[in-house]
Amino acid sequence: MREMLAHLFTPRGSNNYKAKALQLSSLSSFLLLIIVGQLLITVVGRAVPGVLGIASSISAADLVNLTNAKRAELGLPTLSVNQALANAASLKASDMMAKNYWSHTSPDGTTPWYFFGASGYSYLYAGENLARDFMDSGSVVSAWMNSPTHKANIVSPRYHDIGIAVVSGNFMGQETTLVVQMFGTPASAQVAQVAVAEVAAEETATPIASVGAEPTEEIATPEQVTVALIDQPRVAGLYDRFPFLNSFQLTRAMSLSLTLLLLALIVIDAVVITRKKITRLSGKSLAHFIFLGILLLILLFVKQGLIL
Amino acid sequence: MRQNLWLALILAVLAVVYLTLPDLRLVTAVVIGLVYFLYGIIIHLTDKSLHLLVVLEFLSFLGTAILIFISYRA
Repeated sequence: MREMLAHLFTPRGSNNYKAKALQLSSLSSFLLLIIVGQLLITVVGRAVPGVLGIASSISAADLVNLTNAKRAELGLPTLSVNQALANAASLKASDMMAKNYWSHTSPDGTTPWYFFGASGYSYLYAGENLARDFMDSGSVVSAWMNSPTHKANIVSPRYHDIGIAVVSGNFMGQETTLVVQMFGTPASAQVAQVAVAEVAAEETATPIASVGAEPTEEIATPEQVTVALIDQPRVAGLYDRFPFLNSFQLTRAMSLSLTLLLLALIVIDAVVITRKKITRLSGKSLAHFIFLGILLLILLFVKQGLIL
Repeated sequence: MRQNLWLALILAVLAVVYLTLPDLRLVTAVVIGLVYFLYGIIIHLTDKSLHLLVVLEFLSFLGTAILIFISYRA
């Protein structure tokens, strides 16, 4: 047993003076291990919902409150919750789930602005923020506020309305929570603010991914209601409890363990090689150490969740 | 030694980009892997110690890192 461990983890004659675990065959095994682990997480996540996933406490109401709080801090008027916009956000979220894409524009070229029209919201200005894999509403809004383009949407004085959809389900192979936040100013606002609208329309004549703005000639008044938030329940009762294992934490633990193991092996290898004054053909240990050290730092500090 | 310092500096900057600009995570992850791979090739070329085994070793580290990033949904 001791011999085997020494063969695996220390450079010696039996492993041609390089720890077996650091040799190409072992590194290939690590690669295979990561791929198999990731495949398992994906397959188990799909086959046994509730075992692997992300338990989030995100709610549309909290997101609206937090968004308006950020606006209030800057002295901006709060956004009104709009049912048509919430429907548009829900349509977009459903489309992303159904077509399995993480983008402002779907694979078939459908832009966010299509969903505004489909839900009957004729807009003067429109914008969209997306988020996924977060655990709570505060983290979502913080991530958006830390991104200049998303922050621009949240604190834009041009927007009057907001609609949010929070949808949980199996997305791109993993159970997660998807958030679609849509902003808009109805075309009817053009009548009241002709001068302002003309100037702004010249500035932004083309819709841009997360800071969308597209002036239109239409004049329509979308229905305004006080409650227009969509928190869709987990699908069909299969996801009606929190997952047994958090897939993000599991992946993080696996990645950290592997990186730490490789770092430890490189240190042991370097110490033994230096002490025994062994010369060999190999990659640079210090460079490997720096690379894995940086990787470890990233793994330690990376936060859960993606925004777009 | 100086090359290692440069490597550490460049990778540290890329790590900061990765952590602070979530929109660019995938691109940054690939760049981190490629920078390290190219560093390995160049250093061993200048040392005149570039062999297939060394290239494959650096490729393995590159692959491991990119896979870890991908599993993190980069």
